[in-house]
Amino acid sequence: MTENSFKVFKRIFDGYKNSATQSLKIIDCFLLFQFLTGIFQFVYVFLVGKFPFNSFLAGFISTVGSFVLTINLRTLVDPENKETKVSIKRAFVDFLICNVILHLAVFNYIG
Amino acid sequence: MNTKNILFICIFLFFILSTNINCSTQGLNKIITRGEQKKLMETFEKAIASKNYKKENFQSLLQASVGYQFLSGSSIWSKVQKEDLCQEIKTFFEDVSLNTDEQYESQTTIWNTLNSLQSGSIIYNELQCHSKKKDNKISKLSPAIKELLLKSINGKSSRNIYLSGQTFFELEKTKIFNEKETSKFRKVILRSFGKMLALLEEDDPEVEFSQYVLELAVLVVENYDSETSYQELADDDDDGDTIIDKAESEDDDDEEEYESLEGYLEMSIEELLENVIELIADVANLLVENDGQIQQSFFNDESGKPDLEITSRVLRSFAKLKKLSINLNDDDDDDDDDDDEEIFSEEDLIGLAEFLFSRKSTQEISAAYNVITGLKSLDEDRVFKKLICITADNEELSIKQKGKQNAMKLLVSDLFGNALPDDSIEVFLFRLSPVSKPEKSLTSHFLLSQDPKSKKYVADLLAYKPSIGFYNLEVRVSHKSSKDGKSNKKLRPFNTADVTILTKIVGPVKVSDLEIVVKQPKSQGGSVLSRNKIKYPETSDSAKKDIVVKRDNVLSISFRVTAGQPSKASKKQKTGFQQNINNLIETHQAMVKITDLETGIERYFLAMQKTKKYQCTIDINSNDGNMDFSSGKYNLELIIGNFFFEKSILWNFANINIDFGDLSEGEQTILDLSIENQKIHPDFLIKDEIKHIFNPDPKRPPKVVSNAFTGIMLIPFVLLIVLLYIVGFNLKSFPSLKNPIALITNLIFIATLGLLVLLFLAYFFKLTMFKTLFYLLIVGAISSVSGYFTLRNLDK
Repeated sequence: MTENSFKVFKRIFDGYKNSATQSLKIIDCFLLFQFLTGIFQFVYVFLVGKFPFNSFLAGFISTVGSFVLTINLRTLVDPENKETKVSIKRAFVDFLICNVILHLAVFNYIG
Repeated sequence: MNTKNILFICIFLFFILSTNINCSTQGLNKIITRGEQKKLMETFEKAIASKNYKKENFQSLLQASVGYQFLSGSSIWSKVQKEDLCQEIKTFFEDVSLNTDEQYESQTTIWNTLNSLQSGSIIYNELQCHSKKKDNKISKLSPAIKELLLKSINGKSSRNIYLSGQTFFELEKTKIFNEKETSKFRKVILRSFGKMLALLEEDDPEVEFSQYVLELAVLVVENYDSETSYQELADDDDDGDTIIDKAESEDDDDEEEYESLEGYLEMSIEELLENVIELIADVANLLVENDGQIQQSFFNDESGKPDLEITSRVLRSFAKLKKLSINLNDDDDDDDDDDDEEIFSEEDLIGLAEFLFSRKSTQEISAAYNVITGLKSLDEDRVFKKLICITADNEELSIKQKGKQNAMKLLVSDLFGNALPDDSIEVFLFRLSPVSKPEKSLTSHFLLSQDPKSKKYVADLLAYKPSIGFYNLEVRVSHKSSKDGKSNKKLRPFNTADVTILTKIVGPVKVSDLEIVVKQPKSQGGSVLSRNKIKYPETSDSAKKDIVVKRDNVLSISFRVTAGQPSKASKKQKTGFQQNINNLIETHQAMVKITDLETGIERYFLAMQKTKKYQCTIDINSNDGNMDFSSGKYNLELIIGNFFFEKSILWNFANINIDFGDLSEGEQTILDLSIENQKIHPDFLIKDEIKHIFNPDPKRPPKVVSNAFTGIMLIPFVLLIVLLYIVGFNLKSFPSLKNPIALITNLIFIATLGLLVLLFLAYFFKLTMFKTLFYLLIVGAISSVSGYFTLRNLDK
């Protein structure tokens, strides 16, 4: 059973390695980083309690927000995406601006 | 006795009686005191001191100045910043712009503007703004105001006609209108006045309507020659027709409007004036419902309550009209005045004065102004019958004090507390009778003398040896001719005035013949166990008799209340009322209070009057008297109180011992409960002060755990770097040194990104949001410019 699942995973992983461009892979690494950060913060709060709640919110929203924005960037940068036609530069600039605004709010909340 | 003697006696008696029967009128027991007048003056001064010179406040300023003038005699304008006020008025008259079309300007706004115009023009003339400085002179009246004035005078509201009419006449004095305008205005005002008079003849005129017609009448009489008639002003109408022509015209509207004027077309102002006064009498009669309601119903507003402003306005204008008509008829002798039928009877006048007095404690300027002017009008010589006010310094006298210091001092004055001239009046103490027995009179017709220092009349009531109680003191003031035979004009017309003053005579009381009887209850024979007599003010202890009361006994306490000092003092005093000492007095409160000295339980028992003695029965066996079965020492107190006692009596007359013996279980519980109840419930005691404590912060994890997790958070970052290395992170697209511009812009762009991070850090540690946003703008601008160039280069 486990051998089969291992094979499936390997196949998916190889498919991914082949199809994705390098920039996509970089973005994916970044995504993973943000995801893990968020998970760790959540686990900490789960273990230790909600006080102070505003700091947890700040950190969590920072990671979650950045995750969402990065996913957006990834969809726009993906060459297989033929529906939306936005240039990469435009996507990147949007990504930067939205991140600035998000982190302005986050820094307000850290407290 | 022959017929001559009988006739003579009859005539003699008639003359004696006639002084009593002959038109005795009522007077007032109140005045507006100096203190109250001072308070009102302060209200007026406050209005001026506030220096609120806006056009909305012109009316208040004018009212304050008139009121102040009446009260103090001096003008308040010296305290006003004349420059500022004149300037304000001038600006108002020259610059105001109004939409006089009725649909755009509400009635309230028009009325407010007219009010301001009227008050402003009067103030302008009183301050003489036009003569003092050229800057303050109104050079030109705004056309909007002229239009408004004309429109209001031609309109249907008597209030607006009056306001605009007065404004015109005040402004005319400053010579701002030319001849043509003046004559036009004068004609129109007179015509409108006639119309209003004609409308007054209809049934049920509204009060609001008639109060302003009086004011208009004053205006007309003051400003038009008494010989003027409509005839003279009828001729030069705008379209060439005379008023008479219009009355006969075929146009229905014109005919209707001018028909009503026909009756007035040939009257002179003098005759008009007589008509006005007659019409006012008719109005008064129309509005009178019952005799007792006269003053209330005449000056009511729509809701049926008397209105201060309407009352005051009608009194003011009526007084002015009366004075003007007297001036016109100046040649007549004094005697004719007596024959005038008075429109306002004495009850009316007293009711009006009482109504105005009821409003005298006010802080509002308009109310104070109305009260003062109303009272002044009532007080006016030769207009109304003189209202005589008699006020006493002290309405309560004590029998104990003797001599002139304890006599009642009466001030005979007018409404404002100004004493009437003493050579023209005589003050009599007419009757002193107890309120409970009005037929019994302690005195009759006694002339009072005047105290030369205070100018007050001294009534030594105690000389009549009254016993304590409420008395009606009737004082009569009668008019007498002065030494040279001519009667004092200012005081006419009055013959006599009666005032009833409610006085209270108080005095000391004592208790006599107090007896405590302890006896068996009737069911067991009713025999007397002990009998003690106690003298006031001693207690049973001084007699050294121990009164013991047992469970079944009945306590009976009887006593008498009489007027007089305790027996020690009465021997020394040779008072005039010794004959009253045995007079028994009814008291308002008479009760016996039993207090348990140990537990504090107390009970009250009423004493009832039986024949000549008061009697109080305490049955120890009953629910009230069992004192919750508490044995021990008890205090017995007698409480006597009434209005006329100088000091009510609270006399501890006995200390008794009540012995219940052994108590049954039920009785013991009752006693215990009672003792419990005597303690004050903790809810009624002072509690500790609460000091507010905020919620403490919840527990935090130990620092080790937090630091460990901070370390754990760095792991994803390390992981990121590792993964990037695996994926193959490179800087191939980075512009090389061959392309310096691109390189620089690229570096600048990346630097700005780094600056943004630093900016956020700075925001967290030091900056405010505003500063951060400001820096963000700068950094953002740089980054967007450099970013644009960087990305453009990427293409190449």
